Amino acid sequence: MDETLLTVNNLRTEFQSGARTVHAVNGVSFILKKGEILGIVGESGCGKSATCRSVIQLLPSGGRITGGEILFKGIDLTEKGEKAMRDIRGREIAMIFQEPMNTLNPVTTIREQLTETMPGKLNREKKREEAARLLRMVGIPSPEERLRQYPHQFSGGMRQRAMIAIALASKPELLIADEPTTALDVTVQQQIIRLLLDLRGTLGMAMIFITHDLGAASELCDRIAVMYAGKIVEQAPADVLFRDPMHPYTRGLIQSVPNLEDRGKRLKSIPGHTPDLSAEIIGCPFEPRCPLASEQCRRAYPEVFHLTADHYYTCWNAGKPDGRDTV
Amino acid sequence: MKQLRYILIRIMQMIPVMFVVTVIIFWGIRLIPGNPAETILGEKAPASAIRDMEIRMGLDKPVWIQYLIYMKRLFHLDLGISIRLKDSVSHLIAQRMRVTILYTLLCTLFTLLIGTPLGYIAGTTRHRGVDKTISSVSLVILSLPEFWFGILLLLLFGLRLHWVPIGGWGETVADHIRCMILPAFTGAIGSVGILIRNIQSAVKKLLEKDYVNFARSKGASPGIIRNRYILKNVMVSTMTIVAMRITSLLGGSVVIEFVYSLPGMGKMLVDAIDGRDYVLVQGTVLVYALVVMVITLVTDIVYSYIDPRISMN
Repeated sequence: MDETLLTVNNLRTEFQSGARTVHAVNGVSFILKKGEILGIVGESGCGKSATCRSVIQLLPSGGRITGGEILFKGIDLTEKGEKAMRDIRGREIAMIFQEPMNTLNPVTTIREQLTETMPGKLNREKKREEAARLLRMVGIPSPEERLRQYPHQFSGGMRQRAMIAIALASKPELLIADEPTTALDVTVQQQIIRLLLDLRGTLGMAMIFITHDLGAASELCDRIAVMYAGKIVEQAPADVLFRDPMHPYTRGLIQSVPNLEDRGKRLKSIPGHTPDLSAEIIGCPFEPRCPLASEQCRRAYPEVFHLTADHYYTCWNAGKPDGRDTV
Repeated sequence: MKQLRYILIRIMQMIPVMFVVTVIIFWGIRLIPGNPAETILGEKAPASAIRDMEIRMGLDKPVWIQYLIYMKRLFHLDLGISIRLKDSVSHLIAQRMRVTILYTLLCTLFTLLIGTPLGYIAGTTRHRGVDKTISSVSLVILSLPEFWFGILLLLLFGLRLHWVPIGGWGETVADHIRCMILPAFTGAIGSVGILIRNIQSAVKKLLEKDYVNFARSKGASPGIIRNRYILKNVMVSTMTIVAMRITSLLGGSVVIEFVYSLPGMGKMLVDAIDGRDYVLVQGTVLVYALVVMVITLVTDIVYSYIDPRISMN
């Protein structure tokens, strides 16, 4: 299980919108092992979605990868053409999306959507059986009946399950989950997280889980990367990150998770907002919002500091007292 | 079973509508100054001759009695005899309707064949120039008059190249189709602009939907994405426009019929109103009202097949 599946090296992705160039991903590197779940956490606009869409190469119009490499099983995906990527998508790398309402095609049956990418050599009956098996696998009751239905006949949670079944139809080795629980009720969120964990256990696939919900990430992920302004600012095993967060941004995120013990107290939040990624940023982009900001932060982007082999952060002043509650 | 019930209910609902149509058209046509006796005999005819003719036509009776006589005939599916053309109205309509139906079919076919690919290309292209060219050309076409295009095409393909007859309707089915190509194409140009713009904007909206992205992420082929994900969803919004266009085409297109000397519904109705041919006007409008309602029903049924979210009830 200790084999590397995906290596992202110094990835850069830009979006051209009018005359502005938005540097959404600014040199991101990470490694994903087979069967591992990596969480990418951050506020909206931090580049977490752009990172994942770069991996599967489905960037929205105007977006393009401008640097770095994406090695999937040793092959650089940035050098693959659209046609070669089509063979990789679904079969090797699949993706699930945030809005189950908008992700399923409203005018075709669930069965069609499950079977349309299955290999042509299977006959109709085989495909139907396989489709029913997939629905059963994601915990959809009476799958035979459900296959004949259309997405609007499914509830939100059931749609999310159906979407997962469709994504897993060709047994991918890597599943990218772009905020799959964000649009769901809390109880349904829990079910989907449990389902994803079960599926990892039975299918052994690796997963990149994108979320801004630290709670969800802590339940699901083996390792978590915190992103800010297109860069990873801290990465650690999930339990370590929560026990021992180093970067002031990570601390801020953890402290702003609502907590039942803090009832009645004012909810903590990080002051300020995310920087404009179309402007050139000198120094640390978190500096204007950071309680530990110093002169050095304004001058140069922090180096990578390794606390242990698998825990690093990029901050000049991490660990210094910041006047806030320590976690 | 549920569908059959729905269709039956819809047909039942047509009866009162048809009744209202007969009332409006019967009184409406009589509100126009002049009557058939006057128009047939001309301005200089003596009053006594006009009076005699009115009595022969039954126009001397009170209007509500005339209406009852008309309704009694209508119950026996008798639309009456045209006052000026001296032929049964149902026969006249049947003859003209053939022309108009063939025109409508070919025109719709051309519209879809030209409009769908161009709208799709304009919607999916990442090339600014292509997008802009298609949408501005469709806007220009939209604002040009039909008869001008008609005459232009007629001059080129009819008079110069002799590819198609310069007008008329011909004798055999093959003739009919040959005669109809230019008129249908001319009519199609008129509606293709609207269709292109509609499909273009629908496709653009769809491409932003996650289900197209999701289809890509599962490795669906471009063909599947185009047909099942984009075109099938685009059809839902396009259907309404096409159905509306079909309904208006079935009413007859006076300009096209005039340019290509086609014996269609439009010219007959205009002539009938002009000559105060009460019987023919009543019959034609009634049939047209029926056609509109049937087309609307068919559209709704087709809708429920294309878009599963709409159910028949």
